[in-house]
Amino acid sequence: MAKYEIAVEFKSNRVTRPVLHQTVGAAVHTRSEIREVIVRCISATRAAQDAAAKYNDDVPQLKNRAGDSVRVTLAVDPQER
Amino acid sequence: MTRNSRRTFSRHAYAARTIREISHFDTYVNHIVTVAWGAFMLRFVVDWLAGANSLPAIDVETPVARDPSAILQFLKRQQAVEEAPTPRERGLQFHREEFSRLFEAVEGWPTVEFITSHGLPIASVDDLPRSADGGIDVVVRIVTPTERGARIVAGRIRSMISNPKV
Repeated sequence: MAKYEIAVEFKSNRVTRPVLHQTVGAAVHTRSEIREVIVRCISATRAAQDAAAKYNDDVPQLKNRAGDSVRVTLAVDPQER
Repeated sequence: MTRNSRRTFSRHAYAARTIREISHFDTYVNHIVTVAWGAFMLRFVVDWLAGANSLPAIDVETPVARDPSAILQFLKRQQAVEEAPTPRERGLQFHREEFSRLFEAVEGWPTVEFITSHGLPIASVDDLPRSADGGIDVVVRIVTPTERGARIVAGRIRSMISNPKV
């Protein structure tokens, strides 16, 4: 059986780049088999959005402890975007 | 001749003295008028200052807006500010709304289950952890027979969270 774990974090305030890094780090640290991190927020800074894009684009991708790559999604509210 | 000359002289002297006196008289008049005017003005100022405290206050119309609807609006705004939820309450409300939507959307999916970051199952919104969680609210675990199926389900959940249909 294939397993796929997604860590979801809801933020009611503005997400900044350090907050995104902190959330991703906590997810990877807490769940060893995490495959995806989704941060849903009302708004996010440009730096946070760039950092989220960089997580998925860079060659040395973020990996969990099992060795699988971790996808990071910053879901900004479309009404506030 | 001597007389005449004396007369003439004395007439001239008289004229000169008269002119001098007239000119002096003019100077005296000027002095008197100046002193009298000064005294009058001084008296006027003293009387004015003495009566300043006893005079009734002057009513001045200040340009203050006394619109009752504006006052009502202000009071309503103040009441709204007092009754507005705190940031913590707003955050909890946001969490509840988002989780309710997510739970309702994947309610009938047998391959999806929700757990906390420590592995405890979450069956409803009330089971959500309310304390500090270190950055993870919930973990969505997808268990499918194939890897491809898991990716498809994950993509659907991702789009569900990213683009919620209001």
